[in-house]
Order: sequence, then structure tokens, then C-alpha cells
Amino acid sequence: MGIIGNLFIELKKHKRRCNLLLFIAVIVAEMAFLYGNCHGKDGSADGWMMLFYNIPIINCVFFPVAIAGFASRLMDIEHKGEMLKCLYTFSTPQKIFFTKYLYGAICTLILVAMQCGSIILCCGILGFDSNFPLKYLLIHGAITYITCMTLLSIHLLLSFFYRNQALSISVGILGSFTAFFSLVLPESVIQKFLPWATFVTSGFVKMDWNRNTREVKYFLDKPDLTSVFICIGWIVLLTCITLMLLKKSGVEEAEKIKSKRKTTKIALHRRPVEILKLKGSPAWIAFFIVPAISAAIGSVNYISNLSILKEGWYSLWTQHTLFLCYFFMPVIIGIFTGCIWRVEHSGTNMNLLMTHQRPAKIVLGKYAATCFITSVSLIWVVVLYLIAGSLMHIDGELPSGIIQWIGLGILSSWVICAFQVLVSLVIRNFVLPIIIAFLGGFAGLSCIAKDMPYLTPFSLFDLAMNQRELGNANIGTFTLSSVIFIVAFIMISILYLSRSDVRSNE
Amino acid sequence: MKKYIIETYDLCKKSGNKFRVKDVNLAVPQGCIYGFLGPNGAGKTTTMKLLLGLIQPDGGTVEILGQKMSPRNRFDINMRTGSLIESPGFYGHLTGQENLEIIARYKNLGTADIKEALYTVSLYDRKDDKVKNYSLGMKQRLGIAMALMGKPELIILDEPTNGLDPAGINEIRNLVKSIPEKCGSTVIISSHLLSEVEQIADYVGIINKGKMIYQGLLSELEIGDASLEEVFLEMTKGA
Repeated sequence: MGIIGNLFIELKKHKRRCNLLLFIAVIVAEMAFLYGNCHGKDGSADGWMMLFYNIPIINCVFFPVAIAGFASRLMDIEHKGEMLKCLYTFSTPQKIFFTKYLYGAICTLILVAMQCGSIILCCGILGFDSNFPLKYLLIHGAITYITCMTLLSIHLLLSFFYRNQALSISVGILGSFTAFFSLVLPESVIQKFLPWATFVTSGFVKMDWNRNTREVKYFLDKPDLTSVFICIGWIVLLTCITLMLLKKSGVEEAEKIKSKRKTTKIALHRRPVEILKLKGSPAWIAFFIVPAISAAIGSVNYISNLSILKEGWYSLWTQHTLFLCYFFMPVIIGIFTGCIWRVEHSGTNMNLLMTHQRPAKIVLGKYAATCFITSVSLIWVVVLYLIAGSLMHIDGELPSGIIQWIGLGILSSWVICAFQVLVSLVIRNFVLPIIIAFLGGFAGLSCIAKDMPYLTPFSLFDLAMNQRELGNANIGTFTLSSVIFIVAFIMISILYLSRSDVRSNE
Repeated sequence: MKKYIIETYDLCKKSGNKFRVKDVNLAVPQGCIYGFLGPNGAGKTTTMKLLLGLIQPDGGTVEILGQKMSPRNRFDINMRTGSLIESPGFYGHLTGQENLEIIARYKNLGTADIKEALYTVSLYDRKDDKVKNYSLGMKQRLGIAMALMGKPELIILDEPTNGLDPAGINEIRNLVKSIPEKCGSTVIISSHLLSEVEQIADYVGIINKGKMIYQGLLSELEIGDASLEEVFLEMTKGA
């Protein structure tokens, strides 16, 4: 059967999977951001340039995650049902992979088309002139499409060869952040080699910011296509790698390893059950590595911007926690809760669990484990902050409120934990809750910007970890809001677990 | 009057508009081995999940161990039961012993019970291997060990001999047979292997397309020379 025939089979497989819903959600989220960002700004004449300047930056954050999630959904159905075993007897690995790739390419095309449509729609909503030359829309579409295809090549490869979909989504999120950071840094060759950053590096609208008048001017430039060509190079390279791997691939079962350790006595473990279930799982490592990376970036940023950052310890704290709180922490909490629920969602483990434990105890056990590791991680952040600060010999006293910051920070991080415990319980897919956490981080940011910090769990956390904002915050409202959130999420989780039918994968 | 350990009244469960189980009236006498039979997709597993409160009925009630099953007291009831529903659940990245340990923690049991369970299903030699490296039959044995741990009053086994080798089937058969005497428990066992059920069950219930079509003593079902298999095929043919 030709690849077209296979494509139709692929379409059948994804029936009722609503894969495009993810893309629609991303486009809607992006439009919401654009609206929040550009709304009320005048400049309807070159307003479309503002859109073309902003959209690539937003794309560079959202699209990598969306594409990673999409690729993982494409492959997930095969891994979950152990279908590869069966498929390999009907078809060649190459055909299986490239059918998926083709399907992904078509869906990505729809995504890009939706984005182009959303630009025109945004012009209408925001009252900008939409009579810009069509040429630019096409160029934007082409650049976005090529970048998306590069990302799809990376993620489909990872999702195909690694059963554990956490890898693909982690690479996606990491790529998205790297690209985002690289935009802040001065332009360099390395940036051009980052496929995630291509959305922006090949943009054709540039911004001119006048420091004195604080006026922003957009102007058209010839698009720099170097990185687009590099992207095409990436696609070719990745395709070659894929072909090579596919040639060697087979459905191998995990080796049946017999343990060499033979004990005659039965020694019991002392750790709590939830921790025992995570034995050998690397989920907790992120809680220590990510703050360390964040601290390193923050310290470097602090040293190189000493002329602007003049508040000593206060400035250092901002640099250390800025990105960690807004972006990383929700995501790693999401990954952790995903991991602890994943063991229960797999196979028929839910039957086992539900016949042995009260729903309330199950939820609270998981929640306690998540809160514990998150709190330890936040204390680690403070330790890193103190170490970095003393290494740099920062003058002045330690901020007096640091105990309060961290106390409130821990409290509000427990809100996110409760939220993620609920989301990962209800959504059995591993990747979606992580994407929700990711989007939540941004939603929290915009809630802070719009002065509604008590509205989402994520904005509470942002508020607590940012001492400038916290100064104006009402501690009472903050605590009340946190407690209400925690109780509500935990109650809903317990009710959901005890009232709904137990679903198992069988 | 006979004492029943499980009684259900007009138990129904729908999925969409279709009934997966309709008006099932199960009555399981205490201390017996109850064979629960039916073709694939007849509603055996659904019924067993309803008995344990894992899914909520759309109609009817379950009375089990003298209490009415509800989300509120489900846990108290389940503490007195042991079960293996669908295929066994396990944590693949942990060793067999650690898996049993988790169950033991939940059930407040000790080292002795873990040891006994491992010996009962002949997994003692492989207790330090990760369960994901177990073969299908060994995972099944582990599942049975989890169900039997702590000598619960009621044991529900959903096709326990799936994937076992002949020796394993024999072992499990003897094991199940000895349970009512040894621990005083009641056993509900579903199986496709009619000859198995024939050898161990006192009572049988036959379900087809969500409806009970026979329930009673096994001896009453086998009329004359007809074997259980012949009766079963005859009953489930047209219905």
C-alpha cells in the first residue's frame, strides 16, 4: 500500500482524538496574549507590523510545546496499546514513521494557516489596518511552517523511539525557554542554530526603541533567511538520522534482567508508600537541577547588569527567581504530579489502589509528597541565593523579609501542587497536564500584569516570590485565597476519585 | 436459611445507551466457591467491578459482607476483600517483594504475610527482580498473591489462570480449592476454562449479554451425562 493509503489509515486512527483542538487552543491563547499586549495601543497604520513583530516571539514560546504535545499524541496511541508490535508485521518502520510525519506535516500546515487567519482576525479586533501586502503574510507563513516542521522532526523522532513521552515534552519546554532566553541576549551565531528561535531570528519586522522619547517604532527589513536555511539543514539531518535509526529499529522487549542480588531475608522499607513508588524515578531531580540553572543564569545576569541593578540583595533575588517562578516551577511540579499519578494510571493499577486505600488518603498522600519535594526545592532556592550572594560579596544587609517571602512562597507553591494533583488525576494523559502548567505560568503572569494576583494559583506564587509586588500585597487576602484554593482542589480531587468510575487501561 | 455473603438486587450498569449489565441478581452463599461464567464481553468484569464499588451502578444495589456498598463505606468493605480484576496491577519498576510490601502497608500486614504470599505463589526465588521483567504468568501469580494476602473474607478472582502454564494452573486450582477450608473465605472466580470451574466450584452463575441466565448449584446444572461445557454452550448459544 502506498503512503496515501497509509495516511487514510492514520486519519482513521486519530478519529475522536481531537488532535487539532490542541492547536486551536494554542492559537486562541496566542490571540488572547496579543489582545492583552496590543489592545489600546494606537498606531493603527503600522499596527500590522506590531503584530508581525510580536507573533514570532509568542510563537517561539508556545509552538515548541504545542508541537511536542502533538507529536507525543501521534505516537502515544501506538505505545499505549502496544500496537507497534502488531504494526511491524503489516508494514515497514519507515512507512509507519513517515505516514505519521506526513499526517503531522498536514496538521502543522493547518496550524500555520490558522495562525495566518488569526493575524487578519486580530487586525480586525484591534482596529488595525489589515490592508498590508499579502506578501508578508506568505513570508511569515513559510518561515513559521519550516520552523514548525523542524520541531516536528525533532519531537516525532523522540516520541517514536522513546516510549517515555516525558522526554519529548521536556525537550520542547526546554527548547522554548532556551529560545526565549536567547532573545534577551545579544544576537549571535549560536542563536541562528537554535531551531526554536528561528521564529524570531528570521523575522522581517524590527523594532526601534528610542531611549529618550520612549517611543517604539516598527520598520520593515529584509528577512534574514540564514536561520531558515539552517532549519532546512536540520530537517535533512534529522531525516537522515531517523532513516538510520529506523533501519536498525525493531520492537524489542525490555531485556528480562534477573537480579543478581539474592537475599534470603525480607527487609522492609521505611519510607512512605508514595515515596517508595517513586523509587528509581528521576522525577525529583528537576527540583534540584532547575533552581541551580536558574540561579546560575540569574547570577550571571546580575553581574553583567550591575549598572542597572543597584539594590544589592534585592536585585539578586529578583534575578534568581524571575524565570524560575514564572515558568519553571509550575512545569516541574506538573511533571512531578504527572509522574506520581502515572504509576496509578498505567495498566490496572487503579483497581489495585482503589480496593486498598481510601480516596482521601490516596489524594492526601500524593499531595503531601508533592508539597514536600516542592518545599525542599524552594528552600534549596534560598540556599543557592545565599551562597551566590556571599560569593559575590554583595554589600548591605540581607533582605529582612526573606523568611516571610519564602514562607508565603511555600504556601502558594502548595496551591499549585493541589491544582496539578487534581489535573493529573483527571487527565490520564501525561503531557496535557504539563502543558496546562506551562500555560498556567503565563496566565499567572498576565494576571499579575492586570493587577488580579489572587485569581489563579500561579499568580499567587508569582506574587509571593517577587518581593516588589509582595510589598503591596495584602497578606490576609493572600493566605485566604491560598487556603480556599488548596481546600477546593483537594476536595474536588477526593470527590472525583470516590464518585467517578475507576478507569483502567485494559 | 442460607447465609449469603453477596447479594445484588437488579444491578444495572450502562455505557452510553447500552446496558453492559442489566438486572443482575447475584446471590453468593458464604464459604463456597462460586464460578462466574460467561462468554467474552458478557459483563463478568463489569459485575465484579460493581461488587467492589470500583464503578457506580446506574440502578440496583449491592449488599456485600452484610453492608450496602456505597462510595462512603467502600473502603471498609474492601479492606475485608482481596481481588484480582482484569489483568494484575503492579508497579513495574519495583521488585515483586516491594510490590507486595506496598499492599501489606495498605492492609497493615507484616513481613510474615509477605513471605507466606511469596511462597504460596512460588515467587520467592524471584522476589528481588523488577516486576517489569517478570513473564506474563509470573505477573499473574503476583496478582493472585496480592489478592490472597491477609486472608480476606471474600476473594474475587477475574480469570486468575490467564497466562499460566499447566503446572501453574494446577497449583492455582489446588490453592483456590483449599481456601474455604483453610481461611474460611468465600471465593468468586470467573474463568473461560469450564473444566477448571467444573473441578472446583460449588455454585455457578452464568451471564450472557449482561443478563444472568443461570444461578445455582453446579450439580443441578449438569443433568445426566451432559458436561458443563455442553450445557454452557447450549445456554449461551441463542440468548
